[in-house]
Amino acid sequence: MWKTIVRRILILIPQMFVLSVFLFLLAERMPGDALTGMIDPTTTRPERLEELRHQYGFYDPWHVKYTRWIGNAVRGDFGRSFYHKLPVTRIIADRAANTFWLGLLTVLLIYLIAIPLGITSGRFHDKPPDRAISFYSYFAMATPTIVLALFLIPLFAFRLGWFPFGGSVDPRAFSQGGIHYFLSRLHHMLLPAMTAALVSTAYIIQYLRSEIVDYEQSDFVTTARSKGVPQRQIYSRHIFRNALIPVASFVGYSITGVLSGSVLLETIYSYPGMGELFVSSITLRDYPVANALILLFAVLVVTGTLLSDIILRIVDPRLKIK
Amino acid sequence: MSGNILEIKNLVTSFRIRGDYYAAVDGVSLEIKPNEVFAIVGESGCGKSALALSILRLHKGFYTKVEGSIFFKGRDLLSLRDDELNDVRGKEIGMIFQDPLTALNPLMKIGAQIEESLTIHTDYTAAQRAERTLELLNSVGMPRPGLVYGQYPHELSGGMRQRAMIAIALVCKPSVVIADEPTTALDVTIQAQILDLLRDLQRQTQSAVILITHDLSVVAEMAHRVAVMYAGQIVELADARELFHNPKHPYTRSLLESNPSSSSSGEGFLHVIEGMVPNLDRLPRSGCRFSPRIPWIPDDAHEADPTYRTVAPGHLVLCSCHEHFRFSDERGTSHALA
Repeated sequence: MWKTIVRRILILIPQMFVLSVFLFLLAERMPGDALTGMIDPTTTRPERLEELRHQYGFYDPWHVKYTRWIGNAVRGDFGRSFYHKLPVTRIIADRAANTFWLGLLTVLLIYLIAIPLGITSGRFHDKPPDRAISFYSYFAMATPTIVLALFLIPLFAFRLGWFPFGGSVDPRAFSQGGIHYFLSRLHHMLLPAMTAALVSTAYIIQYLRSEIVDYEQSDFVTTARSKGVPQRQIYSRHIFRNALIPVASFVGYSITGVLSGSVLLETIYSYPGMGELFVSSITLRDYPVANALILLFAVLVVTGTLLSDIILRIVDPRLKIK
Repeated sequence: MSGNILEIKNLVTSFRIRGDYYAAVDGVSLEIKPNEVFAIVGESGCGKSALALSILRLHKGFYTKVEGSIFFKGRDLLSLRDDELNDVRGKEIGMIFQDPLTALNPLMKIGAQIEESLTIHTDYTAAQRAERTLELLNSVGMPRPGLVYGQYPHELSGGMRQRAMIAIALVCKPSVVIADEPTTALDVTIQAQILDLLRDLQRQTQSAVILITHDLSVVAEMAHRVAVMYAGQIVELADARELFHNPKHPYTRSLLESNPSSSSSGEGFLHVIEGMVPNLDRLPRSGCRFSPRIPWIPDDAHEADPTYRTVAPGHLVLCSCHEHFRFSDERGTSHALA
């Protein structure tokens, strides 16, 4: 298993190289630069702009620029944001922490909701509990996150007042620190996490349900019945364990999904996360930030896939060998 | 009970097809004696497996209806509640399935799958269960039983898996073992080993074996008595020796004739039975069900309502058409086969 992990990480290096070149060229092709929008043409002479462009190396050939960029990036320096005038790593680090905690909570909620509901749905398929759960699933699948948020915010944030409608922490709790800070963070995350989870659970519920229904018909279940295994144990020992394997391997992918941040979710809840940062960095032509984010997302995708593979190897004995 | 360990009376097992129930097993009555190997033979689709699964009510899904009665040790298995039947399943009646790959849980170690019955049916301690399992792995001829105990099904070969399957069926020392095509999914060389094993184990354990197969050589090798099934009915029942030496029913005789090693058609011809077993929903439900496949036998040779006739002690044949059946007649018609 360690061999596999090391091999996968080694493959990551050429992948990232190719991606970074491609990415850099794309950003390079985009019209405009950071200076165009940032300096007031009525007070700044165009000659001064040209001077600055030369100074920042804007007219250097792309491979020179690329080598400069990637050389620094390898050392952990992604340059400074044109817009925020801060090191890219610091901007991303702040946002990444926000997104990470929100993502973690979302994944936790997804599986806390999906596994019991999926199991109930499969166990009692075509009976009232399954009908109710399936109704919810189809409803959730058909509802875009943003629409759900537009219903949840007025209800829970304004009418009931249970949750804040935006932000990531209460300023008072921020100054108090400690447990107050933590609780306030959690309080701010619950509604966005719930919104994302309610929609994503539907797929896992339906998948788990159909796995369970399939396994009920499998030969080894007939064998278990021929041994006199009671119905409850047939499900707990034989069916659920088999049905949960593919679902367990989804965990890696869902972590990738939520860690890249959701632009819509973060925007509508004005939650300062990476999705929101990514979109704003593109609209502001803040390429140092955008490039660094895309590289980070790529690493997330690969590690998420790797994580799924590792989980699969842990839970499925058929994959343990070699 | 008159010395029978299992008595099947007028068993009708029906499957639902597009809203209607069709009987795959249509009025079968059988008596199984202790310590005998009772074979049920027939083509695919004649109801053998449906019959085997009916005994422990193991059919999948809700689309099956099992009627009649199956007496085991004085109780009708078909009228038992599920939890009562679970006390019989695996403990008193063991079951061996056809495909040992799909019939084993891929996520459970072999040892655990064998021990599961012991956990349910006995109050053995964990150590006693392990001891019994290892002893059994030894007696089913499993190479390196200590290692296999902790292995998963995918780590074993087909033959080893079937040995594990046999161990699962035998672990609680059942008095009846139902083997549903136990060698069909195996290589020919492994088939012979597994058959030898089953025969040896049957002699040791003295349990009755109901052997479901379409392979007459398996029957010849193992069975004491044989029932030949066609289209949901038993058409002939006899001691194995009697059946092979003195087959009566046209279907039995055709089956024997179709066996490459015993074919008397000669000159490289293999006897083939005309037609095929009809689908459940097209099955003729009255008269002799085999008549469409021997069309040269005149209609009045069949009984309108076929009954069993005793042709020798313990030898029963359904319908009177066997009295008129000769292979040479078939060759005289357009049904000659190359």
